[in-house]
Amino acid sequence: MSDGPLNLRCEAVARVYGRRHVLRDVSFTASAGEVVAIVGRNGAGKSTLLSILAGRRLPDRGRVVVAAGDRPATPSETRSWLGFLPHDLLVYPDLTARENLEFTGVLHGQPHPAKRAVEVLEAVGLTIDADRTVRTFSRGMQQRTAIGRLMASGARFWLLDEPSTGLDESGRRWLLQLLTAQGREGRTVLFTTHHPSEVETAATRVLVLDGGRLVEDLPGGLKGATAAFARVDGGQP
Amino acid sequence: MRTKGGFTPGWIGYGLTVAAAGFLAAALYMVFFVAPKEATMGISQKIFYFHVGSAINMLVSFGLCATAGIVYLSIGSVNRRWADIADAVGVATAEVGVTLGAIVLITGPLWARKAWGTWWTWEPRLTLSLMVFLLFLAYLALRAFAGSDRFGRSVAAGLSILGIPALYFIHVAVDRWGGAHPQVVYKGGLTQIDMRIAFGLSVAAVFLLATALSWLRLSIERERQHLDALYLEVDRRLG
Amino acid sequence: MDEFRRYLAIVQKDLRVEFRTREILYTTTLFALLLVVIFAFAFLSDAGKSRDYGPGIIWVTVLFATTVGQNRLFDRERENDCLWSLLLSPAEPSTVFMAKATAQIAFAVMMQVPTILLILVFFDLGVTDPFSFIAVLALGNVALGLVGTLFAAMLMNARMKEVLLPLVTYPIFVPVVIAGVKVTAVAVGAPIAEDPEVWLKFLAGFDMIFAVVTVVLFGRMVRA
Repeated sequence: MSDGPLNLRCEAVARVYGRRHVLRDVSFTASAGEVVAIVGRNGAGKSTLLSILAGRRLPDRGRVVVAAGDRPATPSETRSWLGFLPHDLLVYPDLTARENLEFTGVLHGQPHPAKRAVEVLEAVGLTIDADRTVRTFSRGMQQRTAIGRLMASGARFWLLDEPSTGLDESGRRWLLQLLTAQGREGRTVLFTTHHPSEVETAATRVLVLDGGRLVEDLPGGLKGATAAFARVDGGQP
Repeated sequence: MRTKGGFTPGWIGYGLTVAAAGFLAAALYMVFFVAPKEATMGISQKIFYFHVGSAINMLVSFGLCATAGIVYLSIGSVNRRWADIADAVGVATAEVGVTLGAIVLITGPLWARKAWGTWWTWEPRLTLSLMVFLLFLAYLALRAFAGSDRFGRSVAAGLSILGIPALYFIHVAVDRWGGAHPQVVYKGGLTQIDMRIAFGLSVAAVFLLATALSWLRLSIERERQHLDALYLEVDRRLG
Repeated sequence: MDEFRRYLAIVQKDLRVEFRTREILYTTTLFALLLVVIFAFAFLSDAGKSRDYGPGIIWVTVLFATTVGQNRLFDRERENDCLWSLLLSPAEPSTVFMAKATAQIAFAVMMQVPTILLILVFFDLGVTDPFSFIAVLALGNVALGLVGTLFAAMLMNARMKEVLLPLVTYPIFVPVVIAGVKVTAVAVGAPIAEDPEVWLKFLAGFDMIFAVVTVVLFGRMVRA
C-alpha cells in the first residue's frame, strides 16, 4: 500500500480570520517515527494548525501534502491516514464507547472492527464501562474514548489537540507512553501542549508557534523542552 | 503587488450609468408621449412596459447569480481571485435581482387590479416571479446570517445553483397547477409599431439600469474585498 | 463494497441512536399530531368539504414536521463536531450525504405514518387510490429529504438555523407540494380533473435531478 516512508508536509500555510492572520506561512515536514510537540501561548495558532493539517479546515494560502515517499497520497488515502483528536472529541455521545470504536473501525475500513474495538477498550482502560453511552462518561473517560478512536481508525498520523485534557496523573503518564510507542511503531504524532513535562517525556521534536508564526524548531528531550518554553514564556510580562 | 489599484467604477460604470439614464428618459418619453393608449386597458396598460422589462431582467440577474455560484463552487477552492470575483458578482446580481423583483411584484398587482379586477392572481408568470424573488431573498438571508466566511459564501452559492432546477420545476408545476385558470395573454396589446418600440426601449433601459447598478455594487464589493486584503497585508508585514 | 458498508454503518448508527433516545421521532410525531389537531379546529366546519382541504393539511403537516426533524438530525452531528468524524474518514462525501438523507427520510416516514392515519380518521377521508397515495408520499419524501439534508447539514452551525432552513428550502419545495396536493386530492376522491400519473412522473423527475445535484453540491460545499 505504501511506497516509501510516509510524511506530512506543511508548505507555507497561512490562515486568515477576518482581517487578521491566525497562521503566517508555517512550513515544516513531519516524518514517520517523529513525535512532535507543538507549543505556544494561547492564541498562537496551535489548534488552527492542527485542524488544517487534519483537513478540518482549508488553508487560505499554502498547502498540506501527505505523501508516501515522493508520491502524494490520494484524497481518500489522506483521509484514512490522518487521525484527528480535537477539543470537540468527534465521538458520538449517545453511542457507547464500544459502538463508537466499532463504528470508527468500519468507517476506516479496518478488517475486524469488533475484535479491534475490544482490544482498544482494554488498552484505554474502558473495558468495564464499554457499554455505557459516552454522554454518561467523565471528561477524562470521554478523552480516553477519543484516543481509542484514533487507535481503532488505524491512522498513520496522529494529530492531537491537548490530548491530556481531563486525564488524571496516571492517565497522563499512560498517554505519553502511548504516544512514544506510536512513534516507535513508525507512526507520526503531532500534539499540542502547555506542559513542559509532556514535551520532555514524549516529544522527539518541538515546534514553537508565536503569533501564528513558526519561530523555533527544536529537538525533544529536556534541553528542547526548556528552550522551547523559555521562548514561549519569553515575551510574557 | 497586492497593494496596487482597487476596483473603482471607472469609465464602464459611468458610461453604463449615463447610458441607463438616457435610455430611461427615452423609454419614458416613448411610453407616455408616443405610444398610443391601449383600447381596453387605457392608461394603466403603460405599466406593462416596465413590468415586463423588470421581469425579464430579473431572470437575467438570477441566471448571472447562479452562474457566479457555479464558478465559485467549481474553481473557487483552487483560485481565490476567481472565488472573490464570483462571490462579488453573486451579491451584486442578487441585490439588483431583489430590487427588480420588488418592481415586478408591485407593478404586477397594479396591472392585475385594472385588467382582471383583483390585486393578485396566481397567474403562472406572476407566480414564477414571486418564487424567484423569494429565492433571492433566501440567498441574501443566507449571506447575512449564515456567515460571510468561505463557508457561508459556499452555502449561498449552492442555493443559487439549486435555484436553476428548482425554478424549472416550479415553472412546470405552476403552469399545470394554474391550468384551470383562464390564461390571459399579455402580448395581445402590442399591436402598433410605436408600442413595440416603447417596449423594446423599456426592456433595454431596465437592462442598462440593472447592469449599471450591478456594476456599481460589484465595484463596492470588490473595493471591500480589496480593503480586507490591504488590512491583511498590513497585518502580514507588521505581525 | 467498502463504501456500501460505510453507508450502512452510518444509517445504522443514526437508527441506533434514535431508538436509544427517541428524541426525533417523539418530538416530531407529537408536533405533527398537534398540528393536525390545530388544523381540525381551524378548518373542520363542514365535514363534507374535507376532501377539498384534507390533502393540503396532509402536506402542510408533512412539510412542517419534516423540517423540524431535519434540524434535529443534524443537531446530533453538531455535538462534538461529529459530522467531521464522518467527513474526515475515508468515506466519500457522497456516501455520507446519501446515508444521512436515508436516515432522515426513514425518520420522516416513521413520523408520518401515524400522523397521516390520524388525518384520514379526523377528517373522514377515504383513500380510493392507495397506489397513488403511497407513491406520491414516497416520492415527495425523497425530494424533501434530499434538499433538506443538504441544507440542514450546511446550516448545522449557523445561528438561527431553525428559521434559515425553511427559508431556504420551502421555495424549492413548492413544486413538491403542488404535485403532492394534486395527487393526494385525486387519491382521496376529490372531484378534480387531474391525471395523477403525470404528477408522479413529474415528482420522479424532480427526485432524479435533485439527487444528482444535491450529491454533487454536498461534496463541493463542505470542501469550500
